[in-house]
Amino acid sequence: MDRREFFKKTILAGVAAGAAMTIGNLGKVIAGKVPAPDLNPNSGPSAQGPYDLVAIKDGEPAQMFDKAIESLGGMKNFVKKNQTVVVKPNIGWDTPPERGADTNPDLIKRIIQQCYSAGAKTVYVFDNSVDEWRVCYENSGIQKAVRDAGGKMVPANSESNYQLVEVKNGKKLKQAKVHELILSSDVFINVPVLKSHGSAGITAAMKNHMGTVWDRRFWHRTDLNQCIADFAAYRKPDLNVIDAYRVMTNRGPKGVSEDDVILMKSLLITRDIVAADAASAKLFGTEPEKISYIKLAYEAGLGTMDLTKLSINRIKM
Amino acid sequence: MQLIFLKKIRVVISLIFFIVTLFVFVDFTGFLASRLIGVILWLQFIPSFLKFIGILSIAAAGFLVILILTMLFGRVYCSTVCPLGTLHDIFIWISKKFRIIKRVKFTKPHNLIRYTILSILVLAFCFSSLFLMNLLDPYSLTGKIFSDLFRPVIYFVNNVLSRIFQMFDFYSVYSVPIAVFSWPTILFSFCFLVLIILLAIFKGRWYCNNLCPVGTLLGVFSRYSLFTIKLDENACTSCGLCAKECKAGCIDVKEKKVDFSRCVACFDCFKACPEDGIGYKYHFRKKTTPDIESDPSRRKFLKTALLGTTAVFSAKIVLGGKKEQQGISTVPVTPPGSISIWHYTSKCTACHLCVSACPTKVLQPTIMEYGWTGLFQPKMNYHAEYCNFECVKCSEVCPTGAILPITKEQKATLQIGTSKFIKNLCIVVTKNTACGACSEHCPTKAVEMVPYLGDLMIPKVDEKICVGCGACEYACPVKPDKSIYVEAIPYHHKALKPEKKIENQKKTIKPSNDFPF
Repeated sequence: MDRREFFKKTILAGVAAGAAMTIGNLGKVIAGKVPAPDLNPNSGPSAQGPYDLVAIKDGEPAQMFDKAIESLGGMKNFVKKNQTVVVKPNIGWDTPPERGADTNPDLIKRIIQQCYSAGAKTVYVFDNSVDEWRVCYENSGIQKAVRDAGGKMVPANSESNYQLVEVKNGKKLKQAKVHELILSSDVFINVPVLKSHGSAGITAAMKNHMGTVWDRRFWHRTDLNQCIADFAAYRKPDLNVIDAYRVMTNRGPKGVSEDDVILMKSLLITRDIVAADAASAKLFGTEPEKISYIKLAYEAGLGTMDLTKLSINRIKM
Repeated sequence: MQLIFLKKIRVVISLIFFIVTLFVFVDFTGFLASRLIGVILWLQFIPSFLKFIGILSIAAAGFLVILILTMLFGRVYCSTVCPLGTLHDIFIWISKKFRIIKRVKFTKPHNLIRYTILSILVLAFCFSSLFLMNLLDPYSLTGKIFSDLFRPVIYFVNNVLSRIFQMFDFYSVYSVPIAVFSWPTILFSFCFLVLIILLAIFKGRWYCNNLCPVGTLLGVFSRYSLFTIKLDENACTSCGLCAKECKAGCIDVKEKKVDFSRCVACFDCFKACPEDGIGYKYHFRKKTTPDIESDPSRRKFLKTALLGTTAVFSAKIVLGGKKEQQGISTVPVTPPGSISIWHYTSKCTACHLCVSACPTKVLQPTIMEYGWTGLFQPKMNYHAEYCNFECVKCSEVCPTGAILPITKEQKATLQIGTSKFIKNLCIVVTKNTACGACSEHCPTKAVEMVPYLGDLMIPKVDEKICVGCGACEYACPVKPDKSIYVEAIPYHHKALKPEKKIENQKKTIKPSNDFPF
């Protein structure tokens, strides 16, 4: 965070807080903050595009997203007027965009802009980073991208922002502390970056959920792959956008240098989180059934692993 | 008299130093650049002295400036730069306001205490131990109060504010973790603060003239100051008003003498004298009367002190000792830039500035882990956090040179410990499920996942490229003992660079103009 801005905002916040109190909006604001969690995975905006999945390649991140979302009927199919949106990129690592360890900032920026064009009230962005969160937010370029697009960059480093929820039908993961924005936002857009992962094989859509919970260690301790699949049933994103512009092919998920990264210039978008990961696996040169959690999620009926059963729009720019 | 303005200047300077120093210790935003922190703390006597003998650079010559000032005007350090002195003065001022304070009576100097302490300390230092220095240095003690006592309070208030602002959808005030603070260090600082408050109220600057090694040392120099504060024997009516103001209790009204070795140069007495009979005088103007406390017994104290310290040093520091717990380093891991555990422990006065400045809070105070001569010196606590690969903040701010400045490039291949894998504790072995948290966190991939059973992968450590950042240890989910941990190495040295590209990695991704589905 820009220090000067920090202090400026701190003062502004005080003023804003005071103003809001005097207007008597306090109750409303607080009440509006944490409504009952929306647990029905299919309760998002219901309009279905003609395609189950859009795969696009050879463009720049923002252009590809524009084109892809257009073929799903535009952002208005996902974000309605005055809705709150949470965009969850991968901002796990203190690395610049060239290292491909964090989601592409240009992509995040465009998604936020699209959300606002569709009438979104507020777009929140956060990740429970692995490295120290302030440097992750800053050096990934995502903080700046979010600010430029008018979104709200939310720190996720405090346990007090996480609420304990039951994970129904979870085989290993029975409960988890989930960030309140995932619970309270109307629309959840999952924007992972496709990377290699030392033990899980690849990381993309489902594994990106690990940045929405407080205690990741529990997952690692308690059958990582099963926990990933269990949590995927808890709150399905309304939209999954897979950033495969720069793809870390080995030494993931953090990588060591730019040598680990290839320029794939691809993007996938779909509502189906299992299909998102299955297509990601294919892009990565492996088969979905070889990635444990994809198979487990498929077997639990959370989505489609067999891409031949999906209507896919393949776009080359 | 004309010199009354000196007190005002002194108060302003001391408050500036105090507030800025306090800010340096409680700030969590990284608002001040490391260079600026260096400037702010440049004049702190003991840190500057330690750094100077380490790097022999003008960049650490602040203590020389203090010595020169002392040779000119006495212990001006004690009432301006020294944060503990100002802390005293604040409580003395408050208690005066509420009329709690008893006047500090003139007493004979407690030379036995102060010179014994100073000589033990000097002797210990000759054996490259910081014994007593790290416990009594006024800057470091105040640092601990600021870092371990005030900082949690500031964090707590910030976190409450942060939570309130969040209710209004405002997120720029972020919360900072409080959980990392350890109770023993908080308790120590609390007790010390209480002691200082009591001493300040009832005994004025007693600490500064009896326990403080800097005060004693500067007191030795101030005996020979060019200008000293003296009573004008002709003007003085022995009314005692100046002595009433004196918080050091160093004005002997009956004899019309000021013990300048104990005077902290606060200038409070100047205003008190109705006869304008106290002020700075050129010290060597006339034949000096015998020094008020040239005392023959000092030599004897030095002798006893010498004996005492030799005894102290025959007891050797035992580092860490055998631990029954697995998955933790047997000796503390010292931060990058600290060269070796010996360099570090012989330079660190435990001011806890690095603890305050560390963005991840991996640097944590210890209690006894460095032995009893290294009380409260910080270590890399990988159970609390891990060291950010790109960060060199502690090396930039350390005022004593215990952690010497390093660049990010140097740090990238600087090994401060090596990762040890205890296979039979690993999740992959005990539960037969995937984990890989350690490898995931590793910045150099010294911890790599290799095939185990079926699809399972298991960590493998390449110690040659391990930098000892502790990410693996931090991330390891195994309880209670970690299955991977960083073992300290005595001398930090260069690690190998990770290979540019792993050639044997199977290249699964074929460049294609088409979609693979």
